[in-house]
Amino acid sequence: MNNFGIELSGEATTVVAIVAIAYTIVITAFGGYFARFNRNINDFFYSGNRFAWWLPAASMVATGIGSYSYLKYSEQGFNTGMSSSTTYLNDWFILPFFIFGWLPIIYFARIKSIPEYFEKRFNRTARYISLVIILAYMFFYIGYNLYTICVALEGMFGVPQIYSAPLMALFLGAYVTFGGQTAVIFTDLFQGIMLYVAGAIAIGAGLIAVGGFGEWWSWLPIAHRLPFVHLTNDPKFNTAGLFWGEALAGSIAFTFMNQGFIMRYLTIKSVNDGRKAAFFNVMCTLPLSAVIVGAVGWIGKSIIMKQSAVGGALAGYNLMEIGDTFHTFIVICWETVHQNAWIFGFVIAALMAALMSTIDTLINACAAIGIYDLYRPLIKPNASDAHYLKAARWASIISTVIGLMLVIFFNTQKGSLMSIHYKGIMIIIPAVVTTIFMGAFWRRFTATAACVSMIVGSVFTVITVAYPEMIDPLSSFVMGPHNTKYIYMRALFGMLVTAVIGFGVTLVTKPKTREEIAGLTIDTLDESMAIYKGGKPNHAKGEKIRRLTVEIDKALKTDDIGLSTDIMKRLKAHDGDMIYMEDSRWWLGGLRSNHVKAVTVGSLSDNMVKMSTQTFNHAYFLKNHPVTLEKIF
Amino acid sequence: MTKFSSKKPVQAGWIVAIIGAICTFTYAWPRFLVNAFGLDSPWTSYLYMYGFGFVTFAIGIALILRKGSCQFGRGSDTFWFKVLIFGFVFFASLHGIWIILSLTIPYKGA
Repeated sequence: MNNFGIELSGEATTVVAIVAIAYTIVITAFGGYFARFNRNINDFFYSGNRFAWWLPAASMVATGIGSYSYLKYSEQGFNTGMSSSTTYLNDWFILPFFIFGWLPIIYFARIKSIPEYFEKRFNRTARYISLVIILAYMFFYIGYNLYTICVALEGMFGVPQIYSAPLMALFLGAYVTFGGQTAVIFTDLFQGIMLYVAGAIAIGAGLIAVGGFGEWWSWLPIAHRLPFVHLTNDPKFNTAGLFWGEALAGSIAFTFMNQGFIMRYLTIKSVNDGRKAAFFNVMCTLPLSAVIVGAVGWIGKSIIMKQSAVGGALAGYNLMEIGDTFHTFIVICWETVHQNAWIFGFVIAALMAALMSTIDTLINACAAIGIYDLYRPLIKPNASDAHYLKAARWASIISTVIGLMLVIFFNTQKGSLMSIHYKGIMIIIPAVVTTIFMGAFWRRFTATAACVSMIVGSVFTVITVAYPEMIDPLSSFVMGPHNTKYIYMRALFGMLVTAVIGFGVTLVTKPKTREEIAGLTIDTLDESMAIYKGGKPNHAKGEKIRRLTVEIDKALKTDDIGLSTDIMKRLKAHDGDMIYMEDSRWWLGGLRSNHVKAVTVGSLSDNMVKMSTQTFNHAYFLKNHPVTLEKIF
Repeated sequence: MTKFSSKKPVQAGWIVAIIGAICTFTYAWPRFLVNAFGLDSPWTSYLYMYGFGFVTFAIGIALILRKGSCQFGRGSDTFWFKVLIFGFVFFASLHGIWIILSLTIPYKGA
């Protein structure tokens, strides 16, 4: 049996298992608590678009780190060094397209799912072509995450996957099914902290073992210190391929079409806060995550080099040997914490956290697509909110079961986890990524072109698996690697074919009028904002008004609030402007909040805000707690 | 009735010229780097990533300005525009300094 290169005694196995199981139960219970914040499917999937930027941003930490990340990146870090961080540090290039393009488009157009955008922007056919591709992408990730944690559990504890996979799926399905997006965000926030703490323990223990930061760096071979790997040498990991396949195709896919991430952004109270979250994610979260998941591999390499130089084990430690580099994370952790089962159990619980926090997002996202793109438009168009909420919970269960069944598929695959991952993703994403891009940034791009290019682009990409020589000329053109694998170059090939076909078909077909696609392309955002607000946007920047006392006034309409003239002046708001009001306790992150419209009430005191009982309840406010106001536009 | 901004569409000739320029750069840039630094130099990988990365980034910046999705003086647009530029310079500098430190601090092994 594959024991991950370590020997756990019976007692240690029990301790590690207790920590891991206890952690899983606590998270499930914690997530279940948030079921009370779901009144309708907008709450269930988008938490009512009310959170402050830092809450979804912090929870993205855990979503971005899958159970495979620690194992895969530690292995990569051990083999090629700090260049394992490349995939986490190359997202800035596409950020202008996201924060000034895609984010405002989907936010202001109130897009609920990416396929829904395809129908609004193109037509229904485009919606369902994209739906097939996007679901393939999402289910691939669910199955892959479940599979990797089951491989780890089988390796360490001998639990067969046939038992561990359904058990893990049961826990995950439970809290996502009842708690929805709010549960996902709050559990992921908690799990993100858990991941960082566990990562810090593993890194700290490793650095102590090697003799400190200076020793680690000095024993790290120069090629392993560099941030970028050789341009072409390694067919599976090279800078040329990483740029075209990962920095472009991969980053766009993760940022633009990963329904899970998109839903996080849609839970945020405003586009401006969405930009803050995106900035924080790329500038802080991703670099930190790169260190957390890869550093054990970097440290492992230094330890091995130092051991070989001193001719044996480091003082106070067992001899560390990496027989199979896939075991790097487990072996180095186990040995550098002096085989302490409690600490090691905590680190293994972090692996579970990584799994749960990634899959819960994906399950919720697949369920959203199931409801918004399949159930509501095709099966039951005009049902009540309560009905859709129930259906959403069933959709979560079905998504979990499909992901579970995919574990069987992954079990039959050959090759390393890394190659299985990228081989799959680089085949699935190119056509749909290119179509999203052309649709959002080129108004002339037509519906026929979108449908034809997605199908033909996908077919050609799949064909290159059997005939990789088709990629040769393109790889030569960009001076990429020459081999028969072309893991990343396949994505460039797929994007290029899709773009050329899309461009050609567009030139001979009739585009939609500007009015028909207002708000769905980058050059129609002004209209989009006006439609979103229901009036002309007011961009003047006002003050944030804190700690106002709430007074109930039944005469006010639902979702209107009454404010004094002075407060309106400080907010720089006019009657009808969109205001975000939240409980003044900032650390709630907008859990108790809502978007409302401002109405001037001349006689009102300057430290009060008036609203109806319904408005008060819609915001989940509590009696005797002051509120804070902020004008959106 | 919604009013639409009246920016002139880019002429077809310009589109062909821009695509031609990008293709030429894509072909010439890696060859220039390999000739100047050699295939094995860490600077070749760095400049490959940031050369093409810069072109991607610059196209994004040009697009958001031209299409009006980023308008200086509107809301927080100016702030976010500066953040974008800062971020690019930050990451390019970070990776550059990282390579210098990697090459200059002695390795104890070997």
